[in-house]
Amino acid sequence: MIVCPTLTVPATRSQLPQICNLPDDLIATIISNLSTKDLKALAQVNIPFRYHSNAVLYRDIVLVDDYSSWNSEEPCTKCHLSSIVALAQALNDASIFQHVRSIKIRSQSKLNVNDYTNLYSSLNSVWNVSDSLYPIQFENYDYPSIEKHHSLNQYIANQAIRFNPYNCSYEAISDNKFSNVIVLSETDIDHYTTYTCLQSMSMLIPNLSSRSNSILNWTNMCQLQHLYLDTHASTEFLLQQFNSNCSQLSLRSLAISHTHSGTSELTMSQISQIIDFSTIEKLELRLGCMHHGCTCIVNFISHLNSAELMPNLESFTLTNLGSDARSASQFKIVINETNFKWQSLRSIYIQFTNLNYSDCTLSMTKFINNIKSIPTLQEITIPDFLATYWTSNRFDRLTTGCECNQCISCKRLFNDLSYYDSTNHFKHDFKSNHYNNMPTTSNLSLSLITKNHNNIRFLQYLVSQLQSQFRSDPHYSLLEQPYCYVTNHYMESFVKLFTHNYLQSVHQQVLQAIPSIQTINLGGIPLK
Amino acid sequence: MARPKVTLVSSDGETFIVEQRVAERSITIKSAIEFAGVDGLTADIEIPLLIEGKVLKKVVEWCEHYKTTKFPEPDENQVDVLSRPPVLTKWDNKFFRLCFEQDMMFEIIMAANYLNINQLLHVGCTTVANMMKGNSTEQIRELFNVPNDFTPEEEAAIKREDRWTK
Repeated sequence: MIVCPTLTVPATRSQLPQICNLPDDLIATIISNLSTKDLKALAQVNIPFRYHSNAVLYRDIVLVDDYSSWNSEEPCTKCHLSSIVALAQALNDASIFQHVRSIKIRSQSKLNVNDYTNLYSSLNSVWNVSDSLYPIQFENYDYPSIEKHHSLNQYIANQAIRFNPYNCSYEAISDNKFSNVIVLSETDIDHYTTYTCLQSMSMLIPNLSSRSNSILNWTNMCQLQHLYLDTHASTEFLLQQFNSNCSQLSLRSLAISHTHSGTSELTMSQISQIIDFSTIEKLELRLGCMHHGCTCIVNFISHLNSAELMPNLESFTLTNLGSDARSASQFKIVINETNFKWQSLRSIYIQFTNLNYSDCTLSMTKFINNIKSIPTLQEITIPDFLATYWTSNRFDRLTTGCECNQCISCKRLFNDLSYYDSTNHFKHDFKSNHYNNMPTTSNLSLSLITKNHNNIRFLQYLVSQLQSQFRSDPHYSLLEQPYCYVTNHYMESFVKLFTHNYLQSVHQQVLQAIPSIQTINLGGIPLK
Repeated sequence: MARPKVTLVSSDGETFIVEQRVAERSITIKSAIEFAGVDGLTADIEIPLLIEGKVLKKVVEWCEHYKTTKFPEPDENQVDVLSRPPVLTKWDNKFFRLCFEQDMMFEIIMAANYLNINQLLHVGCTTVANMMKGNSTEQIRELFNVPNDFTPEEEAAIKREDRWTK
């Protein structure tokens, strides 16, 4: 007979196995599936139960104006709008607030615009007096209220003078539909590290000029590391805020958006007062110009283009904000004639926008020559490379040349799909069950792609599909995740066709000139 | 040759001779058996446990009843296997009602926790939660014999604090 040693038992609080003596994790398990009403009753039983119940009750709070309006599978505690004052008072207590993980405002202003100042005030006061970090997720979708009153961010920014230096962090989220909320992502409020400044600040804060001083407290900005001025308005706003008493911002990433209209030319002398460029690692310029014969963009970039000014620049993104030839002609000079000098640059991203001006053709050969002296360059991305101003005779170059079996069968597929699309009112509906069984006539299945209206249209569709992988929201900077590679069964074939016929030779040309290159992405087709 | 028997010994010396599969409903005991015989159990084994005889008797009764039942394996993606309430059978309800009447409910839950019998723990916790449901604060105190440790002032403050919930 084997005799085991006695199996050790975990410590319990007391020998009396009353419910209160169960380990914390078991009590938490027991109450995890109770309703709000039951939790409320339990919270008033005794001190231990109060602690455990509050941990569940206050964890995820959703503010509603109708209890039945918000049904989520996620467990949460609903608070009716009429009880917001009581909730705000309860949250004033840090021992309660420590349980909060998220607060979501799902109530919607109707005739009367809701005001959440009580709630903001409680959050601010707890963050303000406590030395502990209580990060929470905060969502507010009541846009009329944000417009009329303020967002949590604005409220807290207005109270900035009372922040203590060990304060909290929180995350504010805005959805894409209403992208004009100031977003502080995972940010220590006092030590702003990321500040995204979007166009509609003027909409959210109607009297921008009178209230602007209380919005940006420059002393709070000194810790800022990432500043995305995603629109012309936000760049102008920052320029207005700056005065001679302000210290320079030492940033790691910077996005500047500016369109030269009227007299508002963006000059290096203005910007260099505000920004210390020596620390910049990522730079995005979104520039446009409304003036004929102007050289503002060329001048601005030539001032920036110095190895000494930005010794740490690793990523450079250039986007044309202009919509006509006035900007395009300046971009042509920048691409074809600027010899880039940043010695730490690893990636370059050029977005020229889909415009076709015969006098604005860009030369890949010249561009390669202009960047080949950068020793560290690893990545080139040109989302609109397949547009005609980069690739003259695009149709022929992309579809003819290679006669390998793969390309021949792909050309047949091209003809078939193009024909199918033309008979299907150019709906671009290529779900496999639709076209797999379609009849293919011999004259349409030749291994040559004839340049006709249907085929040109189909090629345009393919090019636009590939390009759509790049984010192109005009309200957002591209510094974060500008590209996602998507595949589908027929697109893969055409990617190979374009690569075999043309892009492979461009890739070789780049590799010969710049051996450090690891990836180039031309129009949504990555080549390694 | 007869299958080796497992003898569970309670803290007060009571012994329970059970089949290996019954004992192995407990992950803790299963590990002890594996530790004793890596190539499988070849001889009888005696396992002393720090559980009172009357409680161990109920636990053995539960394990005997479910010795052939296959319970769903804990899902690795699900962080807390206890987060979803299990379906209680009539037998479970009767079992725990008796345990509660005999003042052993929480001892059995603690024993299930100690012996790592996931399903028994799961069912036990759900039974307690079900007993709480729909009761007032005073009824919960009475049901579980919990004294009120709030002062009258604290009680008034708590009621004010909790006004925001329905």
